[in-house]
Amino acid sequence: MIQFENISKWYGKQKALDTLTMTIPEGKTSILLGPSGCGKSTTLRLINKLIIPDEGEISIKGRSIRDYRAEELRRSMGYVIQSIALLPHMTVEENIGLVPDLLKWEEQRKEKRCLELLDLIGLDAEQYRSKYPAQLSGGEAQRIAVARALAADPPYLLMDEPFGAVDPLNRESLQNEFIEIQRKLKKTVVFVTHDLEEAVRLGDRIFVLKNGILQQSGSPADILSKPANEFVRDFVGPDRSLKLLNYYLAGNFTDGTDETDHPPAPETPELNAGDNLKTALSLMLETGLSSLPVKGVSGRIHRKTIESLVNLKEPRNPETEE
Amino acid sequence: MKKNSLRTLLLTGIGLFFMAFVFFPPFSEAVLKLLFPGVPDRLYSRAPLPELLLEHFLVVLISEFLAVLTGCTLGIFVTRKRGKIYLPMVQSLASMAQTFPPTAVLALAIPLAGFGFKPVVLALFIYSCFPVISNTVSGLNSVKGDLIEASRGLGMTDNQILRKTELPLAAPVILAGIRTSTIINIGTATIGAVAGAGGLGTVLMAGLIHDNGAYIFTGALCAALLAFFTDKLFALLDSRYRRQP
Amino acid sequence: MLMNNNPESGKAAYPGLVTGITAFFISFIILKENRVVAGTPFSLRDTAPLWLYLAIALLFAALFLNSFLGSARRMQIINYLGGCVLLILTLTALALSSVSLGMEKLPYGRLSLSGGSWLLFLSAYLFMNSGDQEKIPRLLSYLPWLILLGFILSGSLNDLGIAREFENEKKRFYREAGRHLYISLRSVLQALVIGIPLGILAWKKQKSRTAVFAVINSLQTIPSLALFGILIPPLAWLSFRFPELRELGFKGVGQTPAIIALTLYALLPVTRNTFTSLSIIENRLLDAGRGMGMTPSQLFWKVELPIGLPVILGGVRIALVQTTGNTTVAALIGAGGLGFFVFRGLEQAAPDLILMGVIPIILLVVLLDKTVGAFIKLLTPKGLELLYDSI
Repeated sequence: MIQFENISKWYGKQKALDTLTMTIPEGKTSILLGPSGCGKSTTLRLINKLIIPDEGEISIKGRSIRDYRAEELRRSMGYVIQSIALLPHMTVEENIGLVPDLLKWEEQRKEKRCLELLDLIGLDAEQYRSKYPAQLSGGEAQRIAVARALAADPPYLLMDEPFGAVDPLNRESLQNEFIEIQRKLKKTVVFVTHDLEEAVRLGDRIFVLKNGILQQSGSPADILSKPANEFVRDFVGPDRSLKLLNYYLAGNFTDGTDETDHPPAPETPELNAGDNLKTALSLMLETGLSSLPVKGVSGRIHRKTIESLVNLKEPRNPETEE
Repeated sequence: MKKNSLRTLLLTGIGLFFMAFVFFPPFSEAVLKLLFPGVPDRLYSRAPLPELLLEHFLVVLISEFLAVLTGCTLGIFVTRKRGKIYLPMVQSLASMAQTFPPTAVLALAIPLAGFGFKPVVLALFIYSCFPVISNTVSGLNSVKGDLIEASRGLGMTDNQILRKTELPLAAPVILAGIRTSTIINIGTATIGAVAGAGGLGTVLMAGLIHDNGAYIFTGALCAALLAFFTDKLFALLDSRYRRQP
Repeated sequence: MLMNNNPESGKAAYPGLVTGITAFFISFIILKENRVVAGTPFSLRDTAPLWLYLAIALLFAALFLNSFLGSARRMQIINYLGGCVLLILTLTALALSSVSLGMEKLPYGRLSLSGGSWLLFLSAYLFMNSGDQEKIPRLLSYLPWLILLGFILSGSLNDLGIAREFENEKKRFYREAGRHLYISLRSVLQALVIGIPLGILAWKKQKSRTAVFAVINSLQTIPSLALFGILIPPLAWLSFRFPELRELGFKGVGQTPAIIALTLYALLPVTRNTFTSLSIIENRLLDAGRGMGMTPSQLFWKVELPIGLPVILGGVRIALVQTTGNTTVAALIGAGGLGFFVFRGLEQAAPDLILMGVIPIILLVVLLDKTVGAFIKLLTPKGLELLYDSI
């Protein structure tokens, strides 16, 4: 748990952060979201003491970060930035081994860890370990940067627009891999982005910032369905209902009826449990069907359910009714 | 703006001083008297200063003109399809020649070509070619392939591509090569006086031989200012060129 | 393999052929009975034995034929080897000329290289460089140097003028060579001591940047002899006013103005490259290093030094090459060095004396250039090489 209490930071006469108070939960992915210049990167860099706040207190698990030596603190936090910043004069293996090296691990342990991580991020270890950054594609380099951040198995992971410089296709697969990795590792991730869809896809919790002031915090569904003010409403955009559908998985919204008695016609398209409702709706509009089966889950998903979910004016949303 | 005008003022001041020093003997006499009160024979009398400056200027102008002509032609030739085979040869020759001290090249040429104005011009010409060649080659090679492709797509002939696309884009680099070689040329021409080429080096050498500080100072100052202003001229040319869209 | 047979590639031999064949028609060597009298020119046909003359002619014919045959790569290797053979034949011709002209009986005679011998050397060089040097096997690239060294050590060139001048001035030669090296190295060392902090200053303080580079750029444009000259009067005045300085070896002429001027010259490459080395270490890399928990000293050793050092050394290399060359001129103001022989040779119209100065200077420059170059290659991490190659 990382707690911010009344944090303020000035750059010259400009206030970058204004009495920011928030709590970043343990073991979840928290997203700092906002337009450029909103203070989200500053917030991130405060956590590993690359920046020192002018006012207020940051504490990790109840202990002020003032009590940590900056270097020690940073070694317990993986750090990934947009520009990748692999050291160009070191091989992939040496780059991944940087923090373990700083922590004085033995060679054997470092090597084993490197191979493990290359495997985790889906790159062939023997092929990639001795390559140099100049020989990698953008997507590969960013995967290595993530591996480097995870090397010493830090409990915290700070990511500053890590997929911002990657092309859209690669970005999506990186995001999927990130979701996969995070499901396994359950790190406390603080993730900075200006991309709402990325925030909705990856985040467990989203913090929306503007001009250094926290506008709203909550689950992706909260942010999309109940924007706290005009700014957040504008930021999520007029198509927020469709974006919200991105967040819901088809497997969770079937009617639950047993259909073994009357199986669907063979040519009826089927959804996967992991597909989101936007895909479901799209498929319904395409085929003209009002309901679709979901593979491996009993029951069907109905167009009406989807419509009621996106009808944000009426409090019929199952998630917000609780 | 203010800083810029201050610089212009300073440059104009130094320029006026230079002109007066060369073309107005009473002024140079007064300056030298102030600096070298103990030296009896302060003003170089064997040749007037403007004549020496002109001589120096001519040595540099002729040799550099020939060098630019030869260097650019050769540089263009080895980057064409027909001359590509000679590219490695010319490049290794140019890079080797540029590590040679210019004085050494001058000294080597003298026994072969003889003493005097022409042999020195010849030696300076040969040495000055190499920076021009190197920069012409690297300037032309730095023009991106897709630009040439695009020009060809517009229907330009090879000749038109060279004139309208490659040369204009390579021009700043080529100009930088000419600038470097001219500055080296002016400096080496000063030493050319030893080999009988005349010019400002003559005064300087006379001062060194007769232990006359005023002569040394006169020759050194004029040669330094000549180089300085030539360089400034190139800087002006460069900025003019770059400002063009 | 047939694809390699570019009919154009044979043309690479033409420049070597043209220069080489021209050499047959002009004087190969000049003989002077002593250093003062006018010399008599001899062509290759006059001095070399017939078999050698024919051997050289045959070699050119063979290289000409080669330009029509074979693959580009084989042609290049044959051209290279042909260049080496030409070097051997030319040196042999020089050695045998001194025998056929009876140099042993002329102890004060001077046998000087003339246009023809220079053209043959140039021709050999052009043959050796007829293609991309990277493709020449590494061992072969040392061959010309070994040939040259072999001839010099065997003593067969001892009757050439340059060797006789060297024999006469041996002691002086070593003294001046030592001085040359001392002046050059000391100047570069001083430039490092001043230039590196200056580069750091220019990088850290935006305001000082323009001023620093304006001054050291202008310094570079001043002709070396002029800078020496400008320094002489004020230094002479200082040493006249303060005898203590004079006792320290501080004088108007000689090494003092030379070392000061050469230091000023060497400032530009050192300062510029220090500045560049700092600016290529990008903020993002420092940020990443810091973010990983590196201490300032770890950041220096693991990030800043490996990336920056090769660039700074590149500046040292330029400074060394330039300074060693410029030190030649310092002889004119009485600082000594190998330029002493160059200018005395010019004064006395003694080409061999000039060569005795110039050849060692060029060798010294090339040697320093190659040594520092090899050092840089050693210190440049492979990943950076790949990075620079890709841009």
